[in-house]
Amino acid sequence: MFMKRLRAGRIITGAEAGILGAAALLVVIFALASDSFLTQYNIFNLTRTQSLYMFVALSQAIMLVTGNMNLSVGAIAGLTAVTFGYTVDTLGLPWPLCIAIALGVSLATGFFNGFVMTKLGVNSFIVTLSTLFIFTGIVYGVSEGYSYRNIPAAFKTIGRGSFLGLPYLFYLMLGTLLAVWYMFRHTIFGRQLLATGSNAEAAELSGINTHRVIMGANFLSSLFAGIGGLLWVSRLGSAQPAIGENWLIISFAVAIIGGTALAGGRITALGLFAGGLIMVLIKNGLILVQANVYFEQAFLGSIILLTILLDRAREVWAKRTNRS
Amino acid sequence: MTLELSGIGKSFPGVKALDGVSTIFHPGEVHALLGENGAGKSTLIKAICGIHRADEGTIRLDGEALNLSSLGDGMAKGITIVNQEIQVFSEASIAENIMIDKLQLYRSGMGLDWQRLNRDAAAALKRVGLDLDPEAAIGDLSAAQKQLVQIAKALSRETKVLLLDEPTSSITANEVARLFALVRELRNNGITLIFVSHKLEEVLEICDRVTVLRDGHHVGTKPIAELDRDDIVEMMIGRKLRIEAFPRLETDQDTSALEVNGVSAPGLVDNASFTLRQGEVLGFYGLVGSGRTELARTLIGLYSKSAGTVSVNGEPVEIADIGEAIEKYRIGYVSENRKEDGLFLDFDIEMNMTMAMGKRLQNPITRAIDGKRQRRIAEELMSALDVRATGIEQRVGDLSGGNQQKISIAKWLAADCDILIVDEPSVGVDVGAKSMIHKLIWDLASTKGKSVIVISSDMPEIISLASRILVFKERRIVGEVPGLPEPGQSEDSVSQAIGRLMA
Amino acid sequence: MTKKWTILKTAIAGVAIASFSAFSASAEEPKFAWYASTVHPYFDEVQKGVDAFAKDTGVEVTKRLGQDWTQDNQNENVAAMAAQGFNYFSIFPSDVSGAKGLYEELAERGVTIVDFGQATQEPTPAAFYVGTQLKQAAMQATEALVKSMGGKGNIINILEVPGENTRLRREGVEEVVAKYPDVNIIQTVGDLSTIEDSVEKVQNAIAANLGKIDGMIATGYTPTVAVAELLTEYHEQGGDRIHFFGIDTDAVVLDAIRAGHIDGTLAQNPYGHGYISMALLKMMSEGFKPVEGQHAIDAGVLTVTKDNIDNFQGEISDLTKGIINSLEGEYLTK
Repeated sequence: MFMKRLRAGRIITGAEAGILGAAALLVVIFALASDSFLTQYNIFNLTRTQSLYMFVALSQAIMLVTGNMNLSVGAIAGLTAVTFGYTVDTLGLPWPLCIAIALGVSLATGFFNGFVMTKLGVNSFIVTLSTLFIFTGIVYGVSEGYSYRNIPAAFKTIGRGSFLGLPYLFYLMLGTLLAVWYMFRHTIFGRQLLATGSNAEAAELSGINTHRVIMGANFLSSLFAGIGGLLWVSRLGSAQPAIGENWLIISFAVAIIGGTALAGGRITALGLFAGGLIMVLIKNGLILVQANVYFEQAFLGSIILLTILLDRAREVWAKRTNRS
Repeated sequence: MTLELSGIGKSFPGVKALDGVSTIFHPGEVHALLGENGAGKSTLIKAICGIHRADEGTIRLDGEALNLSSLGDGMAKGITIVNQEIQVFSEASIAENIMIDKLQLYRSGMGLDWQRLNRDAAAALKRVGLDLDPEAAIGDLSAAQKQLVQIAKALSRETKVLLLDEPTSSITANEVARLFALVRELRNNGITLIFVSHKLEEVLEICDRVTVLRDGHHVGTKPIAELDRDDIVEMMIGRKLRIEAFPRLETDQDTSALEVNGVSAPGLVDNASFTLRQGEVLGFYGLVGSGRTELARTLIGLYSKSAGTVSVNGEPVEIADIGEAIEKYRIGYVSENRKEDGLFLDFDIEMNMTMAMGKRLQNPITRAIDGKRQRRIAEELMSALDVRATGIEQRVGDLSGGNQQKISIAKWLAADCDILIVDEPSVGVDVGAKSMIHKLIWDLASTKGKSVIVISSDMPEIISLASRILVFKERRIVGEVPGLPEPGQSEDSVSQAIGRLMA
Repeated sequence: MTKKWTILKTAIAGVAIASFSAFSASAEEPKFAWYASTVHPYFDEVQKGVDAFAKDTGVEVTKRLGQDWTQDNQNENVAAMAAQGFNYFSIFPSDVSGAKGLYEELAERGVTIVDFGQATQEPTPAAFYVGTQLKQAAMQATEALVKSMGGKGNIINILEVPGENTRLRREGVEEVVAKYPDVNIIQTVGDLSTIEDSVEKVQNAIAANLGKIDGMIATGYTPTVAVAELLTEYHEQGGDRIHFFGIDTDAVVLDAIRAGHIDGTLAQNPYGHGYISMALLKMMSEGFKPVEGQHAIDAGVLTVTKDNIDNFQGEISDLTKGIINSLEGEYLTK
């Protein structure tokens, strides 16, 4: 039964197989090219960075699915991190409460983005471009550029501890991806997200309240961004206002490498997993093989493009074989 | 110039769209090109103007064989098309729209000679009888004005053959008269005009000669003087009258599924009242923009109504949004634009069919989507509606038009709707599928007891399906005509009755 | 698009300057201004020096911060201030070559400028540059690192975003390493612009050379903070000792020094950057002229380790005082 469904494409679809294959290929290449690749230290840090990327990517992917985008994900992460730092360090509140407050702030940003998008009918690009500046401004207004250093040790273990040789964050990522997979496969809301992104008019004519769906996507996006920001705080050991500054490109890159359709209507949890893995593998591998530091970005871009071309080739090939 | 087609053939994967079509279009004549949806009209038009290249046959313009491989090639030879969909750059000025394809003629130094461009555009507008400022934005014009601007654009280039593809589909009667005056003038100037329409009245009024296609074949070309309406219909559908033998539906005069009283929506519908009886097929006939689709969309809560009352099964209701229309009142709406707002082309059949079920698809205990039930429903509907597909996992975008239409209807059956509004059920489906869709709609009313509203601008379709036909004009219901199954009626008498209301 | 903006903004700046010059001819008395790109802890420290100067001398100094790190933003804001009649500026140039256009326009109107923090590329209309000599500082930090490693071992050179400043720092590190035959740079990591990027890349570099690394050196602010965090975790979890020297005295970095996870950092003299640049401007407004051939004034750097971490601020104040006393004669004459 399982194998049959596997083959029928109900568990691993062709799209995911392509990206997973590319990730596996990179693993093999780097394992052969460098002795340091398969060391415990490297695997630990690789998977930890991958996990952090995953929250960055999810915060974007969930918006892309509905045919919208969120340019403010990094700013939301920074704001969440600073809120946490401010409450825990400056105000000295207990850290679980601080997490709740920080995530509350991130949800509020999601509400604001969603409100302007749906109720005021402003295009998501414009809304989140504006809020990117607004939230960043608040981050620097509150923190004045200083980091918050008094982070409770218990909180730091989330980002630093490990179980069976793999970081806690890795398990957190797996759990989150599983939940995402379940949501899109087995819940009405997940299906409504997909439908809204695939064809918003048809979704509306099918009785789906697309405004509510887009609002929900904004909540989830800001939540993922907020969690990502907090995990960076936990991993760094201090709440830096600069957290999130480089998220924008990564969020799109990982989401799209992972098979999320830019035009909406398609997402795969397994694909995102592979997309995040590819991204960290490339960056890791380039340093492991001592690539020229000044050309690094060119290598990174080329490998991303190659990965996507590989996936396109697979798609075209799959269509050909289907037809014959 | 004389345009001569000989033995034109064109195939698409799985379909022979055109097969051995030969005919001659003469200068100084308006030549109608007729056929049902899917008969090959649009493929032929595209072959003539260069968008598609024919697989077989030759096209000659005044004896010179043409080998067109793009629209631009066609234009260079003086063959121009004015599209059914009015395509304009709505942010640009009227003059820019007219001259967009010949800007190189107005080059002046580094820029454009705007004065000359606007002057020539004004002259072109005058030629089609429009007195407009060429520098005004085109977006504010009416549909008819845009249509005329398109013609002005075609005429401002050297045009020998002008194809008009359904030019009247989105304009009002007065505007049609104006358009026809222009067409006559162009004919007198010796231009070869090809007129594509499904409105036979217009064809009889304006055209000199008729060519009819059916299933990709050339049925015949005759001067209009030798034909009457019935002859044309016979040529188009292959038999005297296409009346599908649907027996009369017996409906209880007293049970109303949907009762609508004085419903208005500003700019869309004016004071509409009607009753849909239980188990009845009710027809909405009218032109695009006459208020029929607008009324339907107001009823399901997509547009908000400004006045009037609605009752479902005798109970007064206020339908706030579509979700409520579906979940609470079991009203489903099959959109006329399947691809734009009816289906999720990237999703599989299963998901499309069950999309409108909403929360009813959840397992009551786990709150998860009940996958087994979803598959069962989809498979049952697949076989019940005879959908031809490889399986419920097939992508809907890969299906034919007729099968797609079945899926858009199936969506509402899965959602358990009692009242179904089907907008233009047979647009873009081929002849065979068309009668299956008709049978499906009729069965839903007769055997499943569904109450159905069919919206159509296809007169034979609505006459044969509906027990009663409401005629729409300028946002109002202007009258009611009993449908064909009424004893003592013929299709002609029904269509004449409709025609009287439309006038 | 960007180009259009630049042109537009230059035009606005031009108009602002022109309107200022129309009535500035009569305004003879000096008006002092201090301008920095945007919010940053470094500028806070510099401002302390400026404030101290204002208090010590009774001179009124107007301080402004821009909205971002772009030169465009700086052009607009500074031009607007010039239009208000300010004629003595201490500026942190957002872009070391891009700022010259602004300076040239200001200089034509008789405005006197001193660069602080980073120097505009020469030739420049700025009268002086007060700040850290990047190459010397990098060399000083590398010497300290090599000393802490006992004069031998492998190091990783961690660089910030590519550019003129980074090139100088890289040269400084490499020149010192070349002096010690037993010290090798086993990897250079670059283009570290954000904290996340820095953490990821340094971590990858550690993984690539695990067990072979004796020391690391960072010559930029962001990578230093990242490495301080990273090595704190690394050493806490029992990793082999990796020596490290960075730059600047972010609280995170000082924490790591106190806890013994990193060896030290290089304190710059931001207080001096503020104080000295204002003192130069004031003296020039009183008729002093720069001494021929003098342009860059090294405000000094100080190696901070566990030993002097609690009193290095005092040592830096002394540096500033020494430089102020040497201004007349060495850098300025009447």
